[in-house]
Amino acid sequence: MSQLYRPDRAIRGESPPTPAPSPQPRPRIYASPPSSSRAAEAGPSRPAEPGKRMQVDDGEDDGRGASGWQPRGYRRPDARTASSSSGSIPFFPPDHLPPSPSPTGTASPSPFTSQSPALLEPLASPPTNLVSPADQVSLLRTAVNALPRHAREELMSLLLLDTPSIDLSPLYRLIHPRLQRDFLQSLPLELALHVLSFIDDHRTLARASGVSRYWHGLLERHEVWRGMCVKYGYALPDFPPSP
Amino acid sequence: MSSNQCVTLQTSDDEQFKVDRDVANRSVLIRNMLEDVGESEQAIPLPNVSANVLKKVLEWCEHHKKDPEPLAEDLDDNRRKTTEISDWDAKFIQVDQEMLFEIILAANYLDIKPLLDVGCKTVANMIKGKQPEEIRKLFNIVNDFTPEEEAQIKKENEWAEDR
Repeated sequence: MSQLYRPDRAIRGESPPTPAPSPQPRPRIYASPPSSSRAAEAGPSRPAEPGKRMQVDDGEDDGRGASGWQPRGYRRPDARTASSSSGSIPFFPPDHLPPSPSPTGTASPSPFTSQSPALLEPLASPPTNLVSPADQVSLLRTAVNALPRHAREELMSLLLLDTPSIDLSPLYRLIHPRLQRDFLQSLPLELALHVLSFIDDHRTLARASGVSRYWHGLLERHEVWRGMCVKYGYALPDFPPSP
Repeated sequence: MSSNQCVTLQTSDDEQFKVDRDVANRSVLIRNMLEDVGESEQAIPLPNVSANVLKKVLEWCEHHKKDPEPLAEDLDDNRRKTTEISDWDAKFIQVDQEMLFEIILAANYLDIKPLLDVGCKTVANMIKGKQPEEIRKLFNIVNDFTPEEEAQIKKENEWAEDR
């Protein structure tokens, strides 16, 4: 499921520096989250991308080495270096990165040569055009529904806690009716009759027969009135009162 | 068998609950199964009860594990029906309608008569003293009578209202 990779990629995306200007595959990595508009930009060149990236990365690497930058595959320090070296570009959280710099981002290449296949794989997948919120929702929904019950319950609780009360208001109208039950109709007949057996008030029984057709039918049954008859000393033909 | 042995119960959604035997014994279904099967490490499958409901039911069983067995005549006698619910039970059963519904079904399936009664009495108490429209609103029921039928029923029930 590709959506499972997304959070992962999003997290990785945090460390990257502000993409600095320079045509580079690197920014494209960050462009990969489908929600990013940069993804769309990166789209056209995609087929050539993996190979190209490797090449450029290697070349860049050398240059990098000269500038005193080393640990291959060690991403964070690299990221910092890149952003500080490109100085002119302020730090933005990755989500807010301006789309334009990406294709021309500065080289901060080395790390990517050693990226795990897991990270690269999604890049090779079909062009991730802009994914609409609706599509994101449906992807997330599939992922959440695949969670074990406990996890799903926890997630929903957390989401509810994160939601301002006023935004819960429309949900209440969704939830409340779903928790309501027409007990007498939903319960098996013998249990519905058992419920009614605890009502010893003829007025309530008579009124209940006016609720719906189903309730009316149920309340026409002799069993329901048996208790009443016993209470008031009447005998029903089918159900003589017990001694 | 000592009463502090543990029994493992497995719910319809494949969760397992480990409970003391005297707690599990509140369910006549489980008690009979244990008597039939004897000592066993195996989890008892409860395919009709989900984890959220079983958790609630076991809470009741835990609290009532020391209750004396109800007398056979109390179980049958219609005239002795009381609508009273103990304070603890009343608090326990303060749940949404869906949970109440599931507790009733589970208590019936697991054969826990006192819990079944608590559930059914609670529903009965919700109905008591209410007008049809109030009942519909409470349980989200659609009025499917025609106006003529409704008038007819009202007329039929006049006798009850004047007594």
